[in-house]
Amino acid sequence: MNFYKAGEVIRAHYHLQRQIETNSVVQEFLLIGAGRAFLRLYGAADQREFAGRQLETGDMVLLLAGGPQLGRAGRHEDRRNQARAVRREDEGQGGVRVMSSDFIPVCEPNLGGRELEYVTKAVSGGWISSAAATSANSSVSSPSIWACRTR
Amino acid sequence: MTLTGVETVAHEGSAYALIIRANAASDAKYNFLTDSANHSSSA
Repeated sequence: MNFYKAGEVIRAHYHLQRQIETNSVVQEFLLIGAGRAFLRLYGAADQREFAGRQLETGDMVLLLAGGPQLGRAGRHEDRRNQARAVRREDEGQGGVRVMSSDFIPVCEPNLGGRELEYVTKAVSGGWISSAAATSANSSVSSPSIWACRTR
Repeated sequence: MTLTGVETVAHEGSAYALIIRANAASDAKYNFLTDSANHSSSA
């Protein structure tokens, strides 16, 4: 992973073809465009929170497994009070906090049909509204449906 | 190679999140043409 300072130059190059083994877990990338958020991470097996991180403007997260929940973060004092409340709650539950009921996992999209064909037709033809000819048949007419409540 | 501002959050042997802070920095750069394919890019 490389990071470049202002003025540094990335020399012209090409990317080698490489055999890469991947897993089947859907990954997710988050960029905090502005403001603050608190990321909570939940175990894949027991769905219990095991870590949390304060995120600030410009921070990025690649989520590789388990389940995340991103919430609003208040001012420092508010966060300290929240942390105290959470600790008290954790102590009352043996140090482990169960994931809240408003947790919304991201489901794996089902893209095994003609979705790419429909999207290509919609974009190339300029039909990207809900009235597009293929939207009724397409499961990807709106990216918002890719996140759904499963619990 | 010093890499700062990058954190891997793991749980029970599995990596759950790679957090890259806005001020992340590295003093040397990984060369995709000459460096080892097994190079680990995370801190």
